[in-house]
Amino acid sequence: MEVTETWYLLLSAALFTIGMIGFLIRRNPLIMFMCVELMLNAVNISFVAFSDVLDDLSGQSAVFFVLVVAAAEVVIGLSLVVMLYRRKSKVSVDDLAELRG
Amino acid sequence: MLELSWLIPASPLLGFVLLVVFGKRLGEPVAGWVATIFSFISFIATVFVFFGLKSLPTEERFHIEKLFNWIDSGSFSVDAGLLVDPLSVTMCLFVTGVGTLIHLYSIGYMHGDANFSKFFVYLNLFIASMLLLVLGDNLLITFLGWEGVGACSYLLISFWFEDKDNASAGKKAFVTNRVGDFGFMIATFLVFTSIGSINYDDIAADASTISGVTATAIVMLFVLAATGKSAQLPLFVWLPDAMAGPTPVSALIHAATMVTSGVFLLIRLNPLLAEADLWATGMISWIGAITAFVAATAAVSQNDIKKVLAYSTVSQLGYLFMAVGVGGYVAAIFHMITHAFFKALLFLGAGSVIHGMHHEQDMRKMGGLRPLMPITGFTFIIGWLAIAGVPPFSGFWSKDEILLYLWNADAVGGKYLWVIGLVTALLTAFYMTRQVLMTFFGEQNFETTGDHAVKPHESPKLMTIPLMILSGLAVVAGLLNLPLKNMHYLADWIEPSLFGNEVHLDTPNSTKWILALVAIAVGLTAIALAGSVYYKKRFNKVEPQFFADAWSIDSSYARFFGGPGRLVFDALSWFDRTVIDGLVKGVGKVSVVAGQSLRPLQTGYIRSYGLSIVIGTLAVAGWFIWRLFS
Amino acid sequence: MVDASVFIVSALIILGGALCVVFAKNPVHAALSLVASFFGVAVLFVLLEAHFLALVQVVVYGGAIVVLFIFVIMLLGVGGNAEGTRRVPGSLGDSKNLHAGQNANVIPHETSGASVAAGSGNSGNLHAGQKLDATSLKVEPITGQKILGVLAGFGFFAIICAGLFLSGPMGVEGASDDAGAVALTGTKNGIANSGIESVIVRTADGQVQETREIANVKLLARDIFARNVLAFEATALLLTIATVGAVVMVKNNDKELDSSLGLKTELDLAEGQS
Repeated sequence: MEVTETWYLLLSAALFTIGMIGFLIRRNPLIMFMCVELMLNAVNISFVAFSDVLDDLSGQSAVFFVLVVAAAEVVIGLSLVVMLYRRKSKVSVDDLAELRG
Repeated sequence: MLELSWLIPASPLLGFVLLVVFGKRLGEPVAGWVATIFSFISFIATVFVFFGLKSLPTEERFHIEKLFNWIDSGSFSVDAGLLVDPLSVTMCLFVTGVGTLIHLYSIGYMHGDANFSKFFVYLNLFIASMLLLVLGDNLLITFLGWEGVGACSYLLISFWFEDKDNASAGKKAFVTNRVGDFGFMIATFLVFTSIGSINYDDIAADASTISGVTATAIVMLFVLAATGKSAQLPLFVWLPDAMAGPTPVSALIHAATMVTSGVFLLIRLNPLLAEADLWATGMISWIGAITAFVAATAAVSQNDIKKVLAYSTVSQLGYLFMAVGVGGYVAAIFHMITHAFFKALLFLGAGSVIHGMHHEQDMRKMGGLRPLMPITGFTFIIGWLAIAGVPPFSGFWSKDEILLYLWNADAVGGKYLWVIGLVTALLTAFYMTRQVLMTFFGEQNFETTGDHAVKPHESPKLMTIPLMILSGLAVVAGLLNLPLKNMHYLADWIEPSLFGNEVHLDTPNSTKWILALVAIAVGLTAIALAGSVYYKKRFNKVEPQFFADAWSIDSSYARFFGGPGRLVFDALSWFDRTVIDGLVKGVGKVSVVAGQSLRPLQTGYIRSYGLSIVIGTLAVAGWFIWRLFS
Repeated sequence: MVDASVFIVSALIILGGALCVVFAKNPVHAALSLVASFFGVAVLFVLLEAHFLALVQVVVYGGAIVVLFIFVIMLLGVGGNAEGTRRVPGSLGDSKNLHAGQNANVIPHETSGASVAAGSGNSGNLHAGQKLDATSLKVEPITGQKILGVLAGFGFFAIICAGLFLSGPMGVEGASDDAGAVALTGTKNGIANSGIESVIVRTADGQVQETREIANVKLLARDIFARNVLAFEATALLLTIATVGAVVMVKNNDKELDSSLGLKTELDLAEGQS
């Protein structure tokens, strides 16, 4: 059985879906962050798969940048979470509803 | 020379602006002189333009000076332009001429008034608006001037507004004029939809393409406008009340200029009048006739010196309407000019009397003033003779022209019109004689000694010089258009503006002479009758109150609109508040409701926002997939 | 064959780790499953001949990002040994340092079911003593979020599958120039393959002498530092900004808050000593 790109893409889709469902269901901000990382990984997988199939290295450099940006995002996000936890020691994102109109 | 035509309205407008800014500082009498000088500049410019126009051959005497392109929106394009043709130049001549004289007079009359400079601000603005009205080359500029003179009329009538009656007189004038303006506007719209343009030259060129019904409608609406401005039935009720304003105002606005603008409009639109049905133009004459008669009866019973002249103005304007209705445009213009001279003269003379009698206006308290106020008396008598139609004064010639046209207008019952005109002439002579006798002759009905002593004196030179100039004009103006051969100067001059719509009469000379003699006889009879009642006291005077109230027309308006008419007003007001305002507010409400109904979308929860993102992505991606694969 | 089995195993690891992340109650467990998932992804990258990326994945994701997560979890005491603890970090169970104005969302360890029910809206049956907190899976304050979320997820997956299976075959781009040129893409066994480039060294008379492979790192470096150097610099700037921003945000000068978190300030130290 040959591993075609379709397999990779399916895997990427599944991973993304899991990450997305997790993001929508969980209320703990840290877990939500982890789900975001899952989604980013799914996209990385599909990038590299395409890079492999199309014989083009731009896919891999894109992954490189996605990685860096994900890291930066985690830094900021976690510092925000730390600040949130200073106010109350148990935070669910549903408490941050001050922008409700 | 014709390039100077912009100066004609611009000069008083400049005077207006200057006086608004500096008037109070200039004070009395400099402000008055400034206004008079600007008005005089306008007169000089008019004279130059007149000679410039005269130098052109007759065919070219319809000259448009385009100043700038004013409105350009789609198919509607209006230029700010001045139409310099014989009709407008003639009007400008006597407007600026008489206007300047009245400015001069006012410097003397308004002496000591607290708002001296304000008066001249308004006067200059009025002259500017009137000139715009006359010189405009399209209906919109004319309307601009029309509204302007209406506004100035309001401002000037209620000049002494601390007295509430004066203020409401001004309001009445404005509101009544508004009714006429409504007719003007609708008629303008109709003209635009019929021929796509509102310039007078386009109207003249395309008038024949308008259907008879539309032309009749347009004409009737313009007649409504003219009855408002020229104080005819049913909208004349403002003119007698307008005597609450200072006398120069009455002289300028309500005798010489503003009230003639209605007639001017109808003459200017003579191509449209030619297209309208005969009954419509005939109605113009009948409106004029009835108004003239009613007003003349009212003038017989008035005791206020100015109110007699006010009703007299209404009556004489009725003559103008009669002339216009039967196609006698030249006669109308002729009488307009002579009326401007002698009516202004009479009003200024009345003002001089009032001034000399320390603001007493009731004629029953006057009498025997001629020795005490010789110049005023002399000039007033000349005016009296002119208006009574005594030859060789100007009034006789112009009134006679009109009566001639009436006699020949058989299509609209001309003979009856002629009879009404004749009876009105009798009444005119009667009440004018009455006025002169009560004021200047007979015994003095005022106290000369004691606490309430009145010492009448002649007015200062500033006031008497205009009187003398005007009386001179009233004497010689008849030469403009004598019924003798080759002396039809006015008729020949005005002709380019009339596009051949002037009715030409073919009456034999004998008929003309007989009619003239009849008119003279009637006039002299009336004078004799008045003399016997008021001077010789042979008969008792007959002054029914019904006549004095102008047949109660004004009071019935008041009763109707205060009573059952109110329902209409309330209904309209309800409509405005509920439907129209409701629509406008409804638009606002719609957006508020829409906002409120969309508000629940903003839950503030991150996860529901995430869900919305995902659902949106699903929708977009799903649509693409659907599109690509089906 | 080898490829397929490697793929299946790593796919299982990835998906299993992902599911554990989503359904774990304890955040530490979630973080560890995340690491597992990342490892699976790294294996996949190696399979796809993206060696450098596999390394970077392990080092950056597994070694830095997840470590950050763990730091924060431990620092803030999210989770700990049990849920629902009003654990103030730094002072176990010491309620003295709690700030007076602390939010009433906090549910103490010993609460009965009644006050729990009052404290948070509930859409399920709660037993007495059942520990609830704002982040538990059982209670869902937003109506329909869970169902809709799951449905949306499945719908998303369906859409992508539809896109995948309904579209035509994918074209292969890039060709190699045999005449001694060094192309960025090469072929291997007739199948297009990225990451390996062959330098074909020829002798003077056109004979193939040897074929050298150029490493993936070198190729990627060429791509990043030559073609995309602007993006690279921008990303570096972004990282710097993120780091500085994080430090600025989290730094505070409020002594009260510090003491409420149990971090000893100079004041406390002074108090303790005197």
